[in-house]
Amino acid sequence: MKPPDVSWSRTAAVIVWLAVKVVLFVLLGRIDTAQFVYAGF
Amino acid sequence: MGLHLEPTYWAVVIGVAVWLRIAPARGTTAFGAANAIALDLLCGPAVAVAGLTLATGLWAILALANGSRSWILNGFAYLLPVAAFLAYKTAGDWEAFRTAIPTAGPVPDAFWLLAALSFSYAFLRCLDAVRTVLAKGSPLLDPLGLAGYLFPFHMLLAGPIAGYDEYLKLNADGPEALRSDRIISAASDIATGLVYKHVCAEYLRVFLFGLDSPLASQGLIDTAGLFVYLFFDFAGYSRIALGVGTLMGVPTPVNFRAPFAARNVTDFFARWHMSLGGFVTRNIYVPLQLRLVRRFGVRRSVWVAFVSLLACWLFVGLWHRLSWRFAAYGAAFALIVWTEKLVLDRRWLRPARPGSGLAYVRRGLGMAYVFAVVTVMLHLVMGEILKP
Repeated sequence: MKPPDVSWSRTAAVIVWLAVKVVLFVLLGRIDTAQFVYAGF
Repeated sequence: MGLHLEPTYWAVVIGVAVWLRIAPARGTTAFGAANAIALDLLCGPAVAVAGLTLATGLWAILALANGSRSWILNGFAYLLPVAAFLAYKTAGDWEAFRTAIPTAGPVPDAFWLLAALSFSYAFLRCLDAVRTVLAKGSPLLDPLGLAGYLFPFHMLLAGPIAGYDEYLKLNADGPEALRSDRIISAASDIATGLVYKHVCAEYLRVFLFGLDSPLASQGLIDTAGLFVYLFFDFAGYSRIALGVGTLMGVPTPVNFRAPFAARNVTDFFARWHMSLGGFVTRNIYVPLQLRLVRRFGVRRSVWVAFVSLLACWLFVGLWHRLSWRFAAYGAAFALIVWTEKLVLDRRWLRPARPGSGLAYVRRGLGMAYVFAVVTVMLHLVMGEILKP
């Protein structure tokens, strides 16, 4: 499969998406957070 | 095991990535040396010594058998890993895992720890190395490089299974330069893997089974939940390994490619645990199919394909666990995949026009069919998978 062409907009989108994943992991990726969220239900 | 949450792990990854770009030795030797240090830092010196010793043993057998016409030596090279694997499986891998962890100090215990952590995967890499060196004539690496292939620290627990020939590219091409696009790609894979494993899988586990309850299945709905949990856990681990491999420049295969979007079971296994599928295809299916077609002719290829698929699937089933239930699990999947092959090859189901309503309906039905079949099959072996 041909890799997509490199462009600034695509690079920016990839970096923003990467930042979203990092934030998700940092905020939620801890078992005590999971326990806290679970306790709220 | 939260290895990916340890700062030491990431310091080791960055150290190895830099070292491989400046090391004076050839790629596999440099990685083997770095990998031994990584195992020492992450699992203790005894595990590093155990890995090097096992790799040196395999190297000695391969060095003797390589170029020799003696079928005894060649057979010994194949049989030794198989015998070790059978002994390991018979001893009960989970039992070994539980008892080995707290006593990982002395070297004899370290062998158990290494086996419990990694032997199912190391066994497949052993077979791949033996076959590639003895049957295909690929070069035999030095013991250090071979240890790096058999026990790579970033693929230690659950694969993926890199092909021996793929790993050799580290010598031919060297680790790829760390350009910005590769760093972003690696970081993206690692971030996706961390979210899959430590957010998606973990939340699913907590919400399905409670905070401290063990994984359990009371019925098909629970198994369906476990199936999705298994995907996020395993695909997350594999994705982190892929990103780490990209960062270090060590060949690391893709292991999952949107398996829930598969249209049929055959397609599903081309997307789920792809490195195991690749191993089975190149080491069992292709050589066996070629041999059987030469022996029985192309006209019997339909039945020959069934025998080859049965051999592959029995291997996959028994590789998971040595039991009659897993043998039946493998045989049933062989039958399903063979039936699908018949339907597709003979065009009993005419393909729908791309973009038409029927194509979308079929796609949706195909995905539901795959999910249902795999869930039911998983349910049949769930008791053994979750057996403590």
